[in-house]
Amino acid sequence: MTTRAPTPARTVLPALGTTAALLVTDPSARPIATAVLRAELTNVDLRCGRFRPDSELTRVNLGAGTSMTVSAYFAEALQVALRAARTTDGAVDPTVGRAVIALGYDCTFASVLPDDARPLAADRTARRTAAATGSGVLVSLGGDLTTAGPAPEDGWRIALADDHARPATEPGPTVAVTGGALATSGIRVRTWRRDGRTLHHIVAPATGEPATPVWRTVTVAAATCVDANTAGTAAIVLGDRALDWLRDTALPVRLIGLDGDVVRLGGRPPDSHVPAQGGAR
Amino acid sequence: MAPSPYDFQGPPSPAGSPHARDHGLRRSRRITRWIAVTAVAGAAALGTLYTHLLPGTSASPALPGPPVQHSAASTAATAGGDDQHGEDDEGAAPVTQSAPQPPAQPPAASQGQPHTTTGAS
Repeated sequence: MTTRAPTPARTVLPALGTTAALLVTDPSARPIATAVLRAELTNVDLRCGRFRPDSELTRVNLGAGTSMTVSAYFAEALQVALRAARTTDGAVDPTVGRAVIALGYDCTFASVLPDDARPLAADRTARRTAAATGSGVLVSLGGDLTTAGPAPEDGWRIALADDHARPATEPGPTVAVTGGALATSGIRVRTWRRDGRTLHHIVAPATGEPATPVWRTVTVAAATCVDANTAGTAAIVLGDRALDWLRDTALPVRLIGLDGDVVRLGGRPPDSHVPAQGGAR
Repeated sequence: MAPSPYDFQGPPSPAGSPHARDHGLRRSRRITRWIAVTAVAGAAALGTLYTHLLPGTSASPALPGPPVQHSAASTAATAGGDDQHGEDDEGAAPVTQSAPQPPAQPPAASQGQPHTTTGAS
């Protein structure tokens, strides 16, 4: 006799221009988990909202050149951003915001969470929820997801896609994870036209221009969503040099080239295609 | 230790003379200097003593709270204030590792229906 593993309880919120998905293995934990998620989303927007005039980030930027006291949350986000710059040798840089805006990435995208703060918020929410409830937790913010606590019996099953909002009925490769995080960076989702060029939002700090397209989508598994997101973004920026850098990290990575060819590193499994139905977005 | 100003014994002068006034002023300045030097030395000694006695602290001066480096906008900042939510330290990410950390187990191929999707946004 086999026992069918219960389906995790799911909460999906439209939040800050993207989708926040929360899954818990213990359905009774959902109210607390949802409250933690809402509080975290509010907090990260108040602290790190790039286009929010009353955010702490805006206040700090307006006070450039002066000393000021910041919240512990902001300090943590800043440390995360600076560590990302350090570990990627500058391929990921928190100072490219002005270049991105100069390229036309403006308030049309204002409600999108800051790239550095979103995975941090996912990590924090998952850890706090698991600690508060003891339940297994998966938190996905715009497709960057992290887990905490005990995973479902057969792991968290994650569909891999170019766009996290891909229709659930489309088939695609799926992986199972029992811990850690997955994050995907890509150049096909947030694009816009300017001066006859199609631009994307991942800017190379060295040039101030969108990174030269080499990889369409990069999905990285890491211990934390922050690390997974950092490595994925760095891979897009590094382009041809990404493979050597990623091999040194030993992270499991799946890269899709512009022509659709797939490169796997760090023990990433071969794709197994299953029709996706009803997955949270 | 600085010598006490009272150790100085000058020659007696007639009261009310300019010489007596100058002598008094010099003596007053000496007393003021001696008090200032003693106060500074005492404060330094007590500070050093407390630094060694307080648990979890070292002799080197340190600011409380996580270290914050200069932002890209050359803004110096210190952490700790303006915390409206009071939960900022909970769930703090481990940001001390020097390189991205791989997961305990790499992802495995799965045939089941996905719980959710990872993708760019």
